[in-house]
Amino acid sequence: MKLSRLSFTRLWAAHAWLGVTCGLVLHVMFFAGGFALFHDELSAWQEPELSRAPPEQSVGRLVARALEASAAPPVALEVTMPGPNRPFVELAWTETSGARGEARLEAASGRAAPETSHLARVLFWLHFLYHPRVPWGMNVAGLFGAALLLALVTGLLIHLKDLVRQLYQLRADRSPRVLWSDLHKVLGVMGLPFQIAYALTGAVIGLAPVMLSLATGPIFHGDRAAAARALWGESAAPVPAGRRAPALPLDDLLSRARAVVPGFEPDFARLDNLGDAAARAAFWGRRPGRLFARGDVVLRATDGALIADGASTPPTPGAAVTRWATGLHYVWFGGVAARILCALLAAAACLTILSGNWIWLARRESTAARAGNRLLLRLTIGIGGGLLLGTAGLFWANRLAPPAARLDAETWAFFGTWAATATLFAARAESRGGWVGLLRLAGAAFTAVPLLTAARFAATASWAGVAAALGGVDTALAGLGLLLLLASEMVQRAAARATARGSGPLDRPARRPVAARVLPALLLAAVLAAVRVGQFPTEVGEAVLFALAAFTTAVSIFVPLAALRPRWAWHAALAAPVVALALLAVEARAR
Amino acid sequence: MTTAGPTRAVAAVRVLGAALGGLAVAGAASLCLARLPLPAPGLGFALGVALFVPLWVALACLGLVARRARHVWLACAGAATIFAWLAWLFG
Repeated sequence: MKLSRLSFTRLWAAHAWLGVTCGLVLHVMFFAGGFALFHDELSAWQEPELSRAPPEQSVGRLVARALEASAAPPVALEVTMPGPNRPFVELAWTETSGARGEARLEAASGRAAPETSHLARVLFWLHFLYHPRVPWGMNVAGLFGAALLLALVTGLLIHLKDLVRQLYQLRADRSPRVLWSDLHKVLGVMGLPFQIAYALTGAVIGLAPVMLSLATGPIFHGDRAAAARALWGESAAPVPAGRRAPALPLDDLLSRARAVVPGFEPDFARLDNLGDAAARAAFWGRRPGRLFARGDVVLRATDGALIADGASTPPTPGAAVTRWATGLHYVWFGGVAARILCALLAAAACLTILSGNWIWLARRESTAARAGNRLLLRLTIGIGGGLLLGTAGLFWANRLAPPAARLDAETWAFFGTWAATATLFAARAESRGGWVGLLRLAGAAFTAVPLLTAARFAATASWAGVAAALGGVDTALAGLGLLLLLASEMVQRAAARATARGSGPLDRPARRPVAARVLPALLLAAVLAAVRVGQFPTEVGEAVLFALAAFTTAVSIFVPLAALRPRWAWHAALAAPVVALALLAVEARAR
Repeated sequence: MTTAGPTRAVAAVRVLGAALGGLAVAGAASLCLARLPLPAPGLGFALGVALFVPLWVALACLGLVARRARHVWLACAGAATIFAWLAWLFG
């Protein structure tokens, strides 16, 4: 399909302007989103003082002991359950008087364990621009999701005429403008399924509360609870009956919920109307073996009778929509391996966005002195690159600061480093040279995090204990650091090559045939998907989604790699079984 | 130089029409879907929620390539009115 010249120009302009106006915020959201996928793992990693030993007491006993101190028995109670990545129990309750209380306990011992780190939460909230004082930030994030979708559709339309060539063409031996343009198109086209899925589901999740507010009047006649049930499948708490009746202990209700839904593992519980005959217990969790099967199992708290099983079947069509959107967005499929693949795709999306800004600047070299272009150049490196350093600073602060001062240290290290980097580059921008230095520094900082973890434990633990403390998070951070160091090397080489050879004609085709670039990726994806599905039999939908994620990631990495060093891509593809085994080992350990 | 100002103004009117007009039509169409008397309760509302953003983006793309800026505004106003009327009819 070929667009008319007028349509092409307008769509191209829309694509470019959307990129330069929304790109940096979207880069921040994608980068933080890569970490947000591992929120639970980071939550466990960020507080090394909490014991990982199995709990001495059941959750029900821990909760009952914590509530003994409250002035009156609670009428409502919320419990965040402990789990493999949650070595704590969090409680929030409301008393008859309306007074509210909160507690956080170490799951192993039951002792009070006030929060000493918010590393995981900072990155999670940053992903959707949220803060409790700015709750509408989430809606703004939804608008950015819609803007990304528009940028993707306009980008797709303007490249539809030569889409196949954009799949593999990366001319690393040309001018920076050609290189950025090819990189932007290759990563954009390869990552398109992932980016469209994230833009659409992000927009639906972020704008859902606004849609709900707007729909409550005209569709649900002002009934907010009915609207919430239609969209999220949440069953509203019943009206109190006015008759006193004791509720079953939490442990009994928990075991009944597990008995009703096979394999159900609750991670959150909410009990309403406690002490009343209409008391109700709702347990949230996932049901293994069914795609995106997460919801609430609701029991009558007085006798444990089942009221609703939202974990197995979405209670409303709207709940099915939000469940699919959330499941795709949060990668509720394919285990840790799929989340690692999606984090890599998020990194590729960041590079797509930043390369879009570089194209804009490279096309406007003659007007580089204009204030707008100067600002874009400085913001791209200061905000986009500064985020890498800020995040590294956040991890360093977590490991270096004492627990009592950790919360403040993390906040200052993250936002302080980010702001300082942005200010530095706003004052003195040196485009590529600046990026090389920045990538090297951030890479070295991330690579050193496992050393900080080891140093922290070395004083109190044996070498075996230190080795055991270095888990998946430390390994992943070291891997990220090495990737950034590799990226700095590649940027430097590409810049040197471009300077040496100068610009070539823009329309000269790529030298390497498509097979050399796509086949290694296909091989890697096929091995990954086959090994994983063979090892962990899942349902068809989950297997298809995993295979798609594996292929998209492999292609996004291999095509640029093959363009720079064709032999590297084949070597890496031949190492596919090793990569597959490593991912499976991570998965097996997580299970 | 003499045409840059009016051209930019027309482009801004078209972009605004595509973004805001598309938003109004997508909102009205979603409302219409939500009130559509379908056999499964809640299905229309679910479709409205799921299709709102894709519809908005598709309409914005159409608005951007429209020949004249005022056509975008007129078409959006007409479509939004029709969908709103249908939604009222279904309610």
